[in-house]
Amino acid sequence: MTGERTMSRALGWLAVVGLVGGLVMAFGVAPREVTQGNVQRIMYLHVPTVLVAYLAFTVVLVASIAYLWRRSPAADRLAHASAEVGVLFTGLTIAAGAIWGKPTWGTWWTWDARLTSVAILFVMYLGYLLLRGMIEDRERAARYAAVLGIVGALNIPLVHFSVYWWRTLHQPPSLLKPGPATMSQGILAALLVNIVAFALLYAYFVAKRAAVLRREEEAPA
Amino acid sequence: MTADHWGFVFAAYGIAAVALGAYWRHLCRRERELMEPARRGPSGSARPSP
Repeated sequence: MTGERTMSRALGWLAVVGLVGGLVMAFGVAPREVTQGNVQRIMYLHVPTVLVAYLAFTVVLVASIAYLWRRSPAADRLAHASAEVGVLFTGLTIAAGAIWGKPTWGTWWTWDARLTSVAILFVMYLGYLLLRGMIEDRERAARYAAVLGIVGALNIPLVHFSVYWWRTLHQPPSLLKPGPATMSQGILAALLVNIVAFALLYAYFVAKRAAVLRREEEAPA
Repeated sequence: MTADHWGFVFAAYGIAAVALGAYWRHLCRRERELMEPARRGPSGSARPSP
């Protein structure tokens, strides 16, 4: 238990250091983008949060399969914690994207393929959390949620490739695409530092949430 | 020269800071609530009786 707390605390401090480093890179090191100006600095928040959301829902997929296979409560707790943190990061992606969209596209929101598929992803995992809360029997809730966690993950490639499959206002991916990155070294470095920082924060939140879930299960009703 | 729209940049980072901070505080509070009975022990008293 003490080891678990020490590890969680260490992860937390690593995330803090990473986030401070990310802010320094985003506002102090990365150059001002020529076309969009400084508003492009929202990218150092928007892209890492969506990539971490992909990671979170992929973890939900793997943990859900593990739960259905082994019926391990630890796998169920991991799926639950990761879904909750994934919803938080998806919400931040949508908010940051809307704020970035207003000065660059002239609108907060448009029903284009990328934005709509992300909204569907957000609502699906919000539904996942609601489903867990609605069913009192813990084993049944875990089983149903695992099925939804597997089905919901099918939306991740749809979100990512939507910009290639449909005509969209949203630009193609900056990372996770074939070929080398097309951005300047300064912008790429700032983006990578922020991705690592948000990934550490995700790991910290998931570890803490999973520990809380375990204590809730152990607590007398 | 493109306008910088710093207000939008600070709004995005501000909302993220508030949301992440609120979630972290929620987790810490829930953790404390769950640790409290364990610290008090089965008798419900924080101080051991002589």
